Amino acid sequence: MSNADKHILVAEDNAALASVVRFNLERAGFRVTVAHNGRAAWEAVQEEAFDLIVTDQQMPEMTGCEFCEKLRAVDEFRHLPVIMLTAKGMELELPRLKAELGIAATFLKPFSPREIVKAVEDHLEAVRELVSP
Amino acid sequence: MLARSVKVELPRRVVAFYLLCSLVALLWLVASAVSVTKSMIAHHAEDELISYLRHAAAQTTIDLAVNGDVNLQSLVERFARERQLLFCGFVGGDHTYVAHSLKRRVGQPHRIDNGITTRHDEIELVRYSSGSLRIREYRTPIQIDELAGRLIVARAEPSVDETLEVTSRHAFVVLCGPPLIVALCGFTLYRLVSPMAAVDSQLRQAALAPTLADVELSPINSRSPSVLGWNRIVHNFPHESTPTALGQRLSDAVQSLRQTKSDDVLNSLTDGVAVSDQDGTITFANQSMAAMFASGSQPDSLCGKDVASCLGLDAEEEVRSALFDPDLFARHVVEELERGADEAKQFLRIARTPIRAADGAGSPGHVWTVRDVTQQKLADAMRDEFLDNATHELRTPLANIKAYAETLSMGDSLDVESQKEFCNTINSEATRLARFIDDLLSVSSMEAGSLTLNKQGVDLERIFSEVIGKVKPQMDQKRLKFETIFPAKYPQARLDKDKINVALVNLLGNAAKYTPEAGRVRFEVKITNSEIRIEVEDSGVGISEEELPRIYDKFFRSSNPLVQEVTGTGLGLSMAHEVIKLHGGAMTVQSQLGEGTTFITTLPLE
Repeated sequence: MSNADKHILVAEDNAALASVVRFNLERAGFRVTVAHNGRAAWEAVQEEAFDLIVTDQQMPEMTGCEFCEKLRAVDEFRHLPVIMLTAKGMELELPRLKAELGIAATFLKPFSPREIVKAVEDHLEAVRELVSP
Repeated sequence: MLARSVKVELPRRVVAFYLLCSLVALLWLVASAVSVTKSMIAHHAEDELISYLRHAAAQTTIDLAVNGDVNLQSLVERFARERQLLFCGFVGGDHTYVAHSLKRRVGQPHRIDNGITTRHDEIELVRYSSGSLRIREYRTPIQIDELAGRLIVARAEPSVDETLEVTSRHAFVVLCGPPLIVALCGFTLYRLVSPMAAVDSQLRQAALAPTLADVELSPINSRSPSVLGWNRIVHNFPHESTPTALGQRLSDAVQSLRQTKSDDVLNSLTDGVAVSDQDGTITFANQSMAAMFASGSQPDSLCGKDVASCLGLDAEEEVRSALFDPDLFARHVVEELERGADEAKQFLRIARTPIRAADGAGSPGHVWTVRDVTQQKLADAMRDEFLDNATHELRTPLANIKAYAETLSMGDSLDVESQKEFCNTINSEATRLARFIDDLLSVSSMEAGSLTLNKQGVDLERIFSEVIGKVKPQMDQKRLKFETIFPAKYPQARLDKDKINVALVNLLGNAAKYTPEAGRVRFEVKITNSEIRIEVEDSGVGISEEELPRIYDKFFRSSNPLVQEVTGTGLGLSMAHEVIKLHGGAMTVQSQLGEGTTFITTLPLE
């Protein structure tokens, strides 16, 4: 299975940042959909199936955390890997987010797009191993 | 032997009285001297009578010797007349009166039965009584030839009654005068001296008493000025036996002065201060305390009340249990209390400190201080929000720059078009970062009050077109209808170009930020004779009436959710307002929640 089979949702309100993340993920071979706020992201997951979600925490309409909470409340999305980008000084809250919302990884802005791509690949690999050992 | 001379200053009255007494004594002496002299003169009169008798006898003898016959009768009559004698006579050898001043006695015998005889040389003095009279009879013999006889003169002594009366009269003066004067002097002296002696004795008592508290002074019953003065002193001297004395009164007065002073200080404090006893009953509260918890009534109205209910802790279980934990009674405890809701919400910081007993044993109560930290809390909250926003504002462009730069650096598969686009993004994000940092610096200058203007002649048209250039992309991104109306001609103006530029970009930036997509923004500049009038109107979220007075506060951001979802620092409008004010201009705002906002800025033309 190649990266091209994998569909990634990028939820990020800053257009420039969303586009650079998308560019890097696409360069790695993934199929990427971008949503510009939490609600658009929630609508997107209803319509399409995603293998992994990269979401910003601070977004208008619905924050990343709220979006995650909604996801986890639905059985279908309970185990969907989520990588979160945070801009605020949320370092202290990260352990709680990971435990309660099952966030796979967090990245503080400014982050390295290469590391995001690597994290996405690693988590998809881990899921793959779990599903087909 | 040492003698100590004491100079005593006598009262004038005493001196005057003494002088008076001396005068009386002197007069008495004079009177006595007169009296003695008078008696001496009387004695002298007797001597004179005797010598007169001798003289008369001698003359009679001579007359007899010369004339032989002599008229004895006329002689004795003359003698009697000259010396105012009782009688005068001449007794012949036959012991009968040859001559007598009382003619009827001539020829009668000279006879004395009951006389006392004394002799002065040849003169014989016989005293005898005749009827009621005491008579002194002086006799002298006369002897010439055959004629021999005796010349007799008699004088009446004062009668016994008369003598007694005179004596008694003198005796009264002599015997009673001096005691009377002494008694009078004594009485007057007593009257004069006794009040002063009373004062003196009380002063002695005061001198001997161990402390002034033991002295008991009493008023004196007299009308002399000194005593009246003394009585006034005594009147103002405390009479109670416990704890009397001037010392106590003085220390009371000092105490009360101190009390007044410290009360003034306590009442001037903006913090509420109260003192409670061991049972938690308020014994003292200052004015601020009353203002906070007794709706401004007198602080005394809090006294006697329970401190917990006064502080409104009845419903605040958590705060109350912390403040009234018996284990912590000997410690300093600080708790925060939230009361009221919405606009009237208050944050109170309550501190409880135990009063240290003077003897170190136990605590006689607590001092409570209450500080209203609402403003501080609001400021803290605003600052926290600002920090959050600022961090976001800094990190977002930084994140973009880093992400694009890194993407570019591994860009073997990038086409030229993408590379150019990435570089442009990095550039614009760097510009955004720089602008934000400028804002931060301006804000810190504003905080320090050092925001100064660099005024110069400016081309208004150019400033406006630069501003439009900066905000246009934002407008376009949100597909806003951006309407600009400019005058045909611009006057000369002196402004700080850069700051006015920032202010207008902030105003238009806000209009763009807070106007929903496909909304409308109008930017109109009008020139009048004296001012430039700039209107920025949008069809955005609007500002509620309650929030209007605070929009120029630093870090203030509306609680409107539509505003909250847009990032911002709460600095833009505050800065724009400051810049316009520094230019001597004014900024007014008209707004309707959900309809839109119009900012009208006026700048004076110099």
